[in-house]
Parts: sequence; C-alpha cells; structure tokens
Amino acid sequence: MPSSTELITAILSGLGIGGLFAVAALGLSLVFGVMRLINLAHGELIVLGAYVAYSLTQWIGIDPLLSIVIVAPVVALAAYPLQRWGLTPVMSKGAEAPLLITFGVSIVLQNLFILIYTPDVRSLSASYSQANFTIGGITIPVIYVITLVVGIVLLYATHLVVTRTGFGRQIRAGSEDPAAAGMMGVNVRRMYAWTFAVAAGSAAIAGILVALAFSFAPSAGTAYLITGFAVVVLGGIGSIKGTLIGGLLLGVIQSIGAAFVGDGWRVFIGCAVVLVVLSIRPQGLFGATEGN
Amino acid sequence: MRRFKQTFGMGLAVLLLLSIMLAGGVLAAGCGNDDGADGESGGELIIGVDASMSGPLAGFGAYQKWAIDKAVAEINDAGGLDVGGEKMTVKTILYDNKSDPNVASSNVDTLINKDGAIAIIGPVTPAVGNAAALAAEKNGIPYLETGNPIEPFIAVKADSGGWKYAFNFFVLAPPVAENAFKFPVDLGLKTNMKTFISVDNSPDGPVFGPACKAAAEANGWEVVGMETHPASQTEFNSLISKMKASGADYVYVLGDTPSFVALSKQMAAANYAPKILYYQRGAQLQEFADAAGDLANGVTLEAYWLPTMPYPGAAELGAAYEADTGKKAGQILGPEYAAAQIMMQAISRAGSTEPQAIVDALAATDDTFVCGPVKFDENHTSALNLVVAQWQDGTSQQIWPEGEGAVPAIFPMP
Repeated sequence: MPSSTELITAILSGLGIGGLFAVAALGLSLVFGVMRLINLAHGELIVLGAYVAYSLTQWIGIDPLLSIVIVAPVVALAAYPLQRWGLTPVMSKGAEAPLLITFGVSIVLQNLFILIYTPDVRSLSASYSQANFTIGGITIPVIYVITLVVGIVLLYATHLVVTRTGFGRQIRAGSEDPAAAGMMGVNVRRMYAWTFAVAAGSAAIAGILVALAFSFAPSAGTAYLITGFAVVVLGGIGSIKGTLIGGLLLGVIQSIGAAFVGDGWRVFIGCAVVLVVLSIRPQGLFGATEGN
Repeated sequence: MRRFKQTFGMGLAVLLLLSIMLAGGVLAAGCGNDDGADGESGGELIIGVDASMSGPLAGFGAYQKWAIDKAVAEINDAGGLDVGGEKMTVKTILYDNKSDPNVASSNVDTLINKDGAIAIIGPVTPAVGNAAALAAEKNGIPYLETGNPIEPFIAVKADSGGWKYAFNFFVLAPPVAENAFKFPVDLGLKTNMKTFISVDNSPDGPVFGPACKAAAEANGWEVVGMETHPASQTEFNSLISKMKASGADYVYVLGDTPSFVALSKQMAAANYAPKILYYQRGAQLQEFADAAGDLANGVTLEAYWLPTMPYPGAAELGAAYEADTGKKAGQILGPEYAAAQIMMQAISRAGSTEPQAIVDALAATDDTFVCGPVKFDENHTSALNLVVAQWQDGTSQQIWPEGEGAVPAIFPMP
C-alpha cells in the first residue's frame, strides 16, 4: 500500500506524463477525426521531431524547448507533400492504400534514422530536464510541469483554431461532409494536407518532450503510436478535449496503478481501464458530444 | 488530372514498398554469391550471423558485426581457413533480427536454407538468442552465441534432452548476483546495508531477481524492496518513489539501455541518488554513457569483458575498435570476437563442414580467448569470468576485484 506522499507523487507525475501522452496523441486525433485516416507513421514523426531537435542542439547549440519553433514547422512542411500528393489521391480508393502508405513511411523513416543517426539510444539534456522543486515535502520534476503545461496550451490552442477560425470551419466542414464542403468552395485536399502538417508538427513537439523527459531511438515511435491510439479511443475519436482528458486520465491511471501494484502492471492497468471505459461508452469519453 | 493523381498515389505506394525492401536490404550485410546453397562452393564457406542491428537491442548488434567481421578478415587475410587440408575463404552473411524473436528465428531459417550457411553465430540476449538457437537446432546446424545468460539458455531445452547443436558461453546469474552484492562489502563502502532490487520482465528477470535476492541476503544486505518493471519502460516515477521510500542505500536494476537513460534522468529530476546504483545489462553499452552524460558517472555494472582484462589480445582488440570506429569498446566486443574464432577453429578442427563433426569440435573447445577461458560442459555452456565495473568520465573501468587493471570506486554516487 503506497503512502500518501507516494500517492500524491504518482498523481502529479501521472499528470505530467499524461500531458505528454495528450501531445503525442493530438496528431493522431486530428488526422483520424478529419480524414478518417489511421496514420501508422505517427510514432516515427514523433521520433523525427526528436532527431531534428537533437541535430539542432548539436549543430547550433539551441535550447531543446526553444527548438520547437524551428522543429515543428520543419516537420510539418516535410509532412505536407506526403498527404497532399501521396495520401489524398488514394484516399477515395478505400482505407487500405493510405494505411499501407503510412506503414511504409514508418518503416522507411525507422531505417533512415538508423542510417543517419545509428541505432544508438539518444536523449536531449537541458538544465530543466533534471531540475525539480519541492512543495510540502513532495519533489516535483520540472520537466513534468513543462509537459503538462505544453500539453494543455497546445491542445487548447488547437481547440481554439478548430472552433474559432475560418480554417477550423473548413476542417469541421471537411470532416463532416467533404463533398458538400468542396461544393461550398473549400479546397478539401489542401485542407487535408494542412491538417496532416499540423498533426505532424504537434508530433514533433511531442518528440522533443519525449527526448527531454526520457530517451529515444529509431524504433521508439511504436510505443507512442500505441499509447496515442489508447488516448484517442479513450477520449473519443476526433475530440480534442477528449484527447487532453484521455491523455491526462491514462497518465494518472497508469501512475496510480504502478504505485499500488507495481510498475510491471502499469501498461496492463492502463489498457484495462480503456477497455472498461469503452465497454460503457464505446464512443469514448467525449466522442458523442463533440463533433469536431 | 484526377487519374494522374490517383496513379501517382498508387505509384508512391509501390515506391514505398520498394523502399521498405531496399531499406531492409541495407541491413543485410555480406557480399555477392547467394547461389552457393551448399555453403562451401568454390573454396568458400558461409557462416550466418543473426544480429540485432535495429530495435531496443541494436546497441549490441553494431559491436557484434564489427567483432565478427574482424575475426573473419584476419583468417581470410592469412590465406583462409584450413578445412581438411584445403584453405577456404570464410564469408559471413548477416541479417538484422530487429530485436524481434520471430525475425531472429526466420533469419536463421533463411541463412541455412537459402544462403547455405554451415554454421550460425547467434544474437545477444535470451529474447532473441533462444529463438535463433531453436531455429538452428531444428535445422540441425551448429550454432554458437554469447551475450545470453546461461540459465535461460539451458532452461529452453531442459525438458527435452538438452541442446544438440547449439552452444553458449556467457555469464551465470549467481556469480553476477554474488559479485553485485559482495563488492561493496569487500571494498568497505559504508552503507546502511539496505538494498532495493528491480528487474524487468524480460527472460532475464525471473533468473536474476531471485538470484540477486539470495546473493544480497547471503552478503548481509536487507532487501527492502523487490519490484518488477516492463522491459523497455521509460517512465519510472512510481518506482523511484518506492526506492526513495525504502531508504535503501544500494539500488540494483536490471533493464535495457533506453530504460537506464530515462531512469537516470528521472532520478536526477526527483532529486534522488542512492549511494550505490548498479545497472545490469543495459549500461554495458557506450551509448548509455553517451546518452546519459554526466548522470552515468558512478553507475556500477557487471563486466564480463574489458580491454584491460589480462587475456591475450584484449588490449589490442579494444585499441583496434577505437581506432577503427572512434568509439570506445563495448563489453560484448570481446566475446563476439571470440565467438567467431571459436566457430572457425571448430570448423577447422572438424576438417569438414559436416554439422555433427563441427558440433563435436565445438564441444571439445578448451582454450583461452580474448575474453578468457572457454570450455563447454555437458549443457553446451561455458561461463565467463566476471568483474565489477563503474562508469567514470565516460569510460567503463574495473573497480572490483582490486588489483591489476582496477581503479578506485566513485563512492557515493555523485
């Protein structure tokens, strides 16, 4: 039985890692919610962000968090042509072809990482990635505060873009009825490509946070893809609010579960809770109430 | 235009599939002649290598490839391997198992049945090593591996008559565990004699967990925490909370490299540093020290091979690796180099490429190699000698036993 200090620590660290889960899942949620596309290369886009940031820190010594302003646009622009001219043309042929293409991209990216960076494990270091502060006898890692804040800010900003801007209106229209949106003058293909780019940019941000908090290697993306799926399904497919809540919930549940029954059960408990929630609400926590 | 774009999309799909095959092929080393299905055409014999070049175990694969290539090149440069009076060129074909047991197994099938390998050198760790060994056993081809602890290797065939074609030389869990809990006492490191043990749920975990608990108690330690964590886990805050709460001065963890990099960072972020931190398995690799940076300083680990060990050619091998790659030599380098030598010597002593003759010659191995003495017992296993090492300023240094090649331990952890 964990002490109260251990329990509070577990909740706080769960919130921190939950913020990271939410950022990692945001791109998946956007792409599936808007295009009904399962992007199997999402994990590798996360790792790509980590490697681009790693290169920048090595070359120009930029702070890893600051590198977000360069890395996210770079990864987003790299992803744009993939959707615009690679995925969109085959989406009308069914789900298989785009799924296969994203699977192929994930394998190619993994092998490119190995060729360019070797299979070695890497990590991004900064003073704040190992710093901490203490409140009421509980030590809180600064990096988890950063992941939580970035998660909330990024997902809230995305929510505002989707609900309050013209581009957001196009996204919502395109996701609900692409044909009608096209007839109303929305360039659905271009909108799809920009959505995919934004999703890739958010994945790159997740990659930087992963590299700061943990470590990464060419094959590290798969674990975050699976976690991302769990978050998206738990929160409700296509719901940004659901993605944030789902991420935080999964992080906290895993941490509390680990505190009670051991770290060996962390993933199992997270999956079990997802299954229980889905058996009660198959649409996820916010799937039915939000149409974005 | 629409038709063009659809065609372009499908074309891209095909292109990507081709890229997958090409990218996979990049990691398949070895050159030319795949049509010699008997493995010894034209004065050439083929040894298959199954290695983890990607995935969580990839750190081992790079050392394995370099070491085996070097041992083979030395034989070929000297005129080839003498097999029954004929000098034969040794060719290796390496396939990446992607740290996946299923791929490791199918690689061995391919090496034997398509490429015509007459012998296999297998991958590191039980997860992939046992799968590859079983595939070689099924095909009736001699197989040699290192980097797979002896107990899980024996356990695989314990109920079915033991291994017939597969051999393994590496470490036994009890001596590793014994050393881990004996060295602080021997070195007189002042602690509260409380230890916290956590092992991952890989095949190593059930072997080393009980062995460590027994060794700790035998050496006077109180085991105040005993946990299991998932292999390749990177989120350790709950575990660190338990470590802190236990009050242990000595923390022992079995895991892989990504886990240890993350654990070290999170321990620092949680403002926690036990007096002794012992990482088993994943901290052997130089990439751990490179990725963890200053946090690696003072981390203690088991060492089955270091260039400073007093074995013939150890220092030269380490120097050659550093000169060739610009990186420091990893522990698995010595045993993998020896594995290639042992296999080639056995083929030469067998005087033929007939599997049973090679197996008999392997079983008769009794010599001192770059990693120390190797002599296989009735289980087809041989245990390496062990020391305790510590990362000090980016280099893995022997700290126990004291004496030749040893340096003073950093204590307590910075």
